Amino acid sequence: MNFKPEVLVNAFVELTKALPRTLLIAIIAMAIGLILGTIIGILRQTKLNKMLGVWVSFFRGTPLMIQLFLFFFGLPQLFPIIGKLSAFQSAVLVMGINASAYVAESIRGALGAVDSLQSDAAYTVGLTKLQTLWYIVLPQAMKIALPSLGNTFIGVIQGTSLTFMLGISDLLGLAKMRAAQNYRFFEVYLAVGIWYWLIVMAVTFINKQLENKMAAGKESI
Amino acid sequence: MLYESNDLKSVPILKVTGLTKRYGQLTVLDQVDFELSKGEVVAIIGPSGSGKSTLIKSLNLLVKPDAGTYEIEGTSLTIQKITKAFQKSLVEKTGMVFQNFGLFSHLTVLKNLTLPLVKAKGLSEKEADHRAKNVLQQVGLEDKLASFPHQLSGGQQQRVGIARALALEPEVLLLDEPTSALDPERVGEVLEVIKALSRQGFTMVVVTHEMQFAKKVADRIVFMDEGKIITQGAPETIFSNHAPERVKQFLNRFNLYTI
Repeated sequence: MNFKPEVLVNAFVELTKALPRTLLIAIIAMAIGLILGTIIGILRQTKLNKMLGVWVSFFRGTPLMIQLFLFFFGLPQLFPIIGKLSAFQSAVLVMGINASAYVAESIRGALGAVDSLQSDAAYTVGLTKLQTLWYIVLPQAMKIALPSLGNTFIGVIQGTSLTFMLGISDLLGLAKMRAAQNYRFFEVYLAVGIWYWLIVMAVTFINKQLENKMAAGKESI
Repeated sequence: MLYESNDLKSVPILKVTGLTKRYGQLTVLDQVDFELSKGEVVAIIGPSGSGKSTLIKSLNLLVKPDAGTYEIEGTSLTIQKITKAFQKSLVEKTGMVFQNFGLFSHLTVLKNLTLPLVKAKGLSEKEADHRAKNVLQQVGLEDKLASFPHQLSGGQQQRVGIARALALEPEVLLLDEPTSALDPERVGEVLEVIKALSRQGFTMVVVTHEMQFAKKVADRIVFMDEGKIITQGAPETIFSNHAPERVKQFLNRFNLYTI
């Protein structure tokens, strides 16, 4: 067997250079996904439901890679202005939109799971529909949606590994370059795999803490 | 009709006529007329599915009837013509207490009271805090300000529910089966709060299955069945042998109709 631990360690350390880029793409994309997805999830209770259903269905129903290619290589042929966006900007935008579809589904389900008595009570104390949504229903829905939003975020993090296809040197992009130079595919790809694993474990941990914190007031008597 | 209006309490706060509500084929309210005078305590009784809850929820338009006319402060509007402003004043006039409490589960007891005061009534945080604490003291829960609803017993939750409604200073308190979800040992503490309110001259409508309580506290009993008001009148009249057969049949279950 020809396994070189020092190559693994070196690759692991070197990949820290690409770590911020991967995290940045994931975090900005998730932020876009959260905002857009929450709005879509809410608006699916309105007349726009059907139209937004198509949006959600498309972005969940086609591979992320195809969405990235469509946007980065395809759309600029129709709308040259889109070609002005950098690979990084395109990747973040497409991944954010992609995440919004998943977030929208989580939020829609969670909104439906909030007891209608909460809105009834809000009505009788004089809150407007918007106030009821913002102060009463949405916070409770977020709590319900938190575990599945955490999963979406994990999906986004792993999805960032596709952005190397647009020429971004994220974790995987850098790893590919390094492996192409030293031909130590096993060590380098194992190193990059460990990085994703560590990130996901950290996110899972943070999410659990958040869930516990939000459930603090819910212990039964 | 058994009911004769009492002159001392004849200032009507709210009047509805011809309320009708259908869910598909089912008519849950059938041409109901209901009037409420200042200081009056009205208990609505009747079998399950008779429309009691729908009626009380129609009074603040939480349930929107298909037909009917609302009258407050001399303004009378049919349901089709009701404006946002009219609906708002109906909501402001009334406070509601729910069978399953309806406390905002993600907010503390104090926040349950202050949020509506600040957001709907426009009070400052400080004023809201002050008022909320006062009202919570009235219902004996001043030590539970920081608790979440799930940390309280059913009786305590319902007292918060009552406090939240009272904090908004409504003219009428609507209580929809306020003790039905409580375990028997907790019913008393909630009924005590309601009794105290009636002694203070609070105007209330209570949907209830607590017949002893209705008899003691209510000025008027309304008996409903199949979406209609079958009869109404003073407790002594309703809980007597002179009541209509359907009422006696219903009350028989409670062994109360012979006083």
